[in-house]
Amino acid sequence: MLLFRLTVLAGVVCLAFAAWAGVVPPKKFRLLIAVTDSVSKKPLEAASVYIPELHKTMVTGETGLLVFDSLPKGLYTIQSSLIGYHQFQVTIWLDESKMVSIPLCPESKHLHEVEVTTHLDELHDFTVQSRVVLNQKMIERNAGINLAEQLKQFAGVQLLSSGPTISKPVVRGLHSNRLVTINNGIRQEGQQWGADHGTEIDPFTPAKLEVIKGAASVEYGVEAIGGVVRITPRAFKDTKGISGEAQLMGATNNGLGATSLLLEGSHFKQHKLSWRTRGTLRKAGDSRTPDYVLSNTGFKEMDGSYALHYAYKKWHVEWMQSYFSTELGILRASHVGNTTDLMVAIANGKPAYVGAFTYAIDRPKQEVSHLISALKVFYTMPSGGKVQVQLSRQVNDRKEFDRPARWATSQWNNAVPQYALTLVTDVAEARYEQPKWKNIKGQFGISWMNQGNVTSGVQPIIPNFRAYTSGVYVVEKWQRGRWMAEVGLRYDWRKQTRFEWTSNGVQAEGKTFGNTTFSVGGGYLLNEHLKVQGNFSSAWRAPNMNELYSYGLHGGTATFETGNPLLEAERSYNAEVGVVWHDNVWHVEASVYRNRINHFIYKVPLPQPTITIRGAFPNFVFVQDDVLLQGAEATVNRTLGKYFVAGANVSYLHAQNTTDNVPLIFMPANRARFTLGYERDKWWKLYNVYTSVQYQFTAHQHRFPTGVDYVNPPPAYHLVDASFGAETRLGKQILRWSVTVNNLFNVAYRDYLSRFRYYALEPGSNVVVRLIIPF
Amino acid sequence: MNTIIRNSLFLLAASAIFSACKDDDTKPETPAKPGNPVEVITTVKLELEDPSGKVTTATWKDADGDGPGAPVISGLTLSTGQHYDGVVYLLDESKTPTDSISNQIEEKEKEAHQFFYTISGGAASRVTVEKEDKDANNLPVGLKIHVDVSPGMAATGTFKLVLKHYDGINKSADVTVGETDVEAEFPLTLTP
Repeated sequence: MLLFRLTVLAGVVCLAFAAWAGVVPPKKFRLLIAVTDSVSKKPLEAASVYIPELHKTMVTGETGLLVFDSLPKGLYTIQSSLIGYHQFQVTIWLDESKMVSIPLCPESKHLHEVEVTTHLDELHDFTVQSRVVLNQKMIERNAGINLAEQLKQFAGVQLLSSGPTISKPVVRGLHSNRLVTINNGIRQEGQQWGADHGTEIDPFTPAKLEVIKGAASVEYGVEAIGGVVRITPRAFKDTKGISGEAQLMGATNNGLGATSLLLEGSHFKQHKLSWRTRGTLRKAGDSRTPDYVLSNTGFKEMDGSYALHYAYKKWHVEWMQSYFSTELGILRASHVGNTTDLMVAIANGKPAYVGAFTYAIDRPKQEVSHLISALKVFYTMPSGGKVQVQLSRQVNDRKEFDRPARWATSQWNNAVPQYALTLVTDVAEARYEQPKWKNIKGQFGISWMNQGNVTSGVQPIIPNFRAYTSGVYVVEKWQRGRWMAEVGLRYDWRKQTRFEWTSNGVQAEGKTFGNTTFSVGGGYLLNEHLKVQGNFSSAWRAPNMNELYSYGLHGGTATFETGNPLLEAERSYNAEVGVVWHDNVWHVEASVYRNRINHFIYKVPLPQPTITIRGAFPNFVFVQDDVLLQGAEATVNRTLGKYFVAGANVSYLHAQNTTDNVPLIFMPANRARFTLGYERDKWWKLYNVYTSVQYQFTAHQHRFPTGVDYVNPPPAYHLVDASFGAETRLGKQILRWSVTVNNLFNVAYRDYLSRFRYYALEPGSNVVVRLIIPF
Repeated sequence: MNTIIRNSLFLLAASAIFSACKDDDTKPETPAKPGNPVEVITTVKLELEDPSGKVTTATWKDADGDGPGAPVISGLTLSTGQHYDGVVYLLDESKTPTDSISNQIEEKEKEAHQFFYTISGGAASRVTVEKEDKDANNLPVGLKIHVDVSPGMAATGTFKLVLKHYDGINKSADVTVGETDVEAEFPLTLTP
């Protein structure tokens, strides 16, 4: 803890120094704006141009030109409007004197519709919740790695991993079923309850990645006690023609090779038809720690998707299908015979089996596929209201193979999965977004979900089940002057029935849950730089099938798990206060939260182990207690001189089981990240050059219940990453490339949220090379 | 050209809609009948024969394999000052007819397996167990054993049997190396 404080202090000192060093006489720049008709290309007179950062409106003269003089460096929004033309808005970065041309589209010439992907999303623009976004530029720099790995750079987001191949995000200490993933507007439904079940999404698809922290389930359905991860693909191509992009990626640590090809097109004027298709291949061998190879941690992934979008007048129709499939190896040494073997493995400190590097995938392994089909229809009513209807089907197929005993000949000859689960989810939903009325806008919606799970295999971990969920919600947002407020209310009803064989034939056992979710929030702009916001929300989650009914042995953790059919629903009450400061030099966000969760479901070992012929296994059973998660996050970014940007973010969490008054187990350690970046438009023969160095300090988790886990949390660790990227122009062809080194100093470390810390170190240094070829 | 693109795209979309909405045969309401489709060891049986031909047996049976059900154990009673030749049987009694796992090890997998025997409690210093059989590499297996009990007073303790397998690693005399297939503890009684 002391070390953590010292590091944070050091970081603050660094930043203060950087701030001081940055106080050079500020340069002033000139901004020239030219407003033209986008069709005739002629200059437009009497167009108004508003720059909110300056609180200044000017009107163009005969030449269509405007000059803003002596502006300090910074980010500016330019809004322009003229009667008979569509409004236009652009954001520019001013670090040299510039001319910006504003082409206004005449309303008569174009049948403009708002971009479909932003159709119902405008509501989020003035959110009163903690929200972090990775834009396309940042995503490109991290493209091709697991989604959770891309998200972990945010304050308050950490990584839960099961070896180098499987990872999922943890938001403010909560993960798996307590987070909802919205993939292209569709709620992703797989076997997400498993800590070793990764996110089943092509890592090249997102154009925008977003994490909404805290209970955010009013619009997104039940279960989002911890937050929402939103993945938005590229918008459909707007200009006529066909184009695409090829991405190539290679990494040295595990010999990863990945490629993704995007093709998109747009045709016809009146009956506008756009399409987008993507294919991705990723293949990797064993990862390496500084000391040894992590045997059997390769993977092989194949993803494909296509989407069609048709627009005519006030109608938009979108049809998409996406397929994800992966075969991934599980660290061979993580498969242990019994608890005695596990204790021996922990005492040895390194894997019992280390082979030569290979791309071959052996058992234990997982084979997972996920197919999504969706139809979306949008209609803009004459009143300005918008309607969206969406139908989707998801088929998630998961097979997990254990490593059989040597004498189990039939299993070696003909692999029977330890368990195989097929989950089919059908969702129908409708939303209506009302037109803005007296500073109020809002939407309401209904949804219906039908889910069926079929289980087979040696030891089915969860039973067959059928679950119906219906929900109805309303969200209203009000904004006037400096004030904004938001209210949301939702009711969900869920009926889940499990089907199991007993001596009397098939037995059905049903459970029904129904409850409300609500949130209220407000924000106030003290001045043009400072915003204060607060939010109180309450969400609930029905116990999951594995928490109710799981029954069996877990090879990876040498534990026997027993469900608890008496579990009740969880309910959270989350309060949060935050401030945002933004000016030309600084961007600061800070928030504190207090999340009380009643009937929080977690596992505890029973005093008596389960005795099997393989030996003794601790018997874990699901129980419920009240817990309190309190924390704070802060992000600070500062521009330094012309080209440098320094940043820092800190995540702090204090999680307590208030029923037993002990710390909550498996909660992420506190963390601080510092970055120093350098960016310029042109340098030598390169364009859009950037280079950055990142330092991450992860503290020792000193808050854990004693005597529950096999081994205490690992010590603190320090990681440094570095990257360099640029754009090269070969004639008209643009090539974007980058080189990133992760874990630059090849540090040997273990992470508390890595489920394989019992057996092995985390991977060592990794050089990643990326190339993007747009065409 | 445009008409061709348009028509083919609509055809593609139409066929995709039909294929996506096709009902599959996944029916949660009709679960598969339970039953273990794979081999498991349910029973460990020790048969010890003294020079007179009298056979003493002990069994350790867990009918549900890796399941939570408690095992049924019958202990081992040996005579002081006696010696025995023993055989270990590993059985899968969840199958009909009963499957013999020990036969499989004996026939094909001797090189990758080894048994370990540990006596503890009051009987610890009184009983010695030697492995009588070797694999192709002349390393011990332990399916066949020789048990020696020293003369003296009555005593009690436990007789622990551990079966290890070696997957890609070398056989070792250290009981902590390798992966555990069986770990069964029998109550042991020595009678004069």
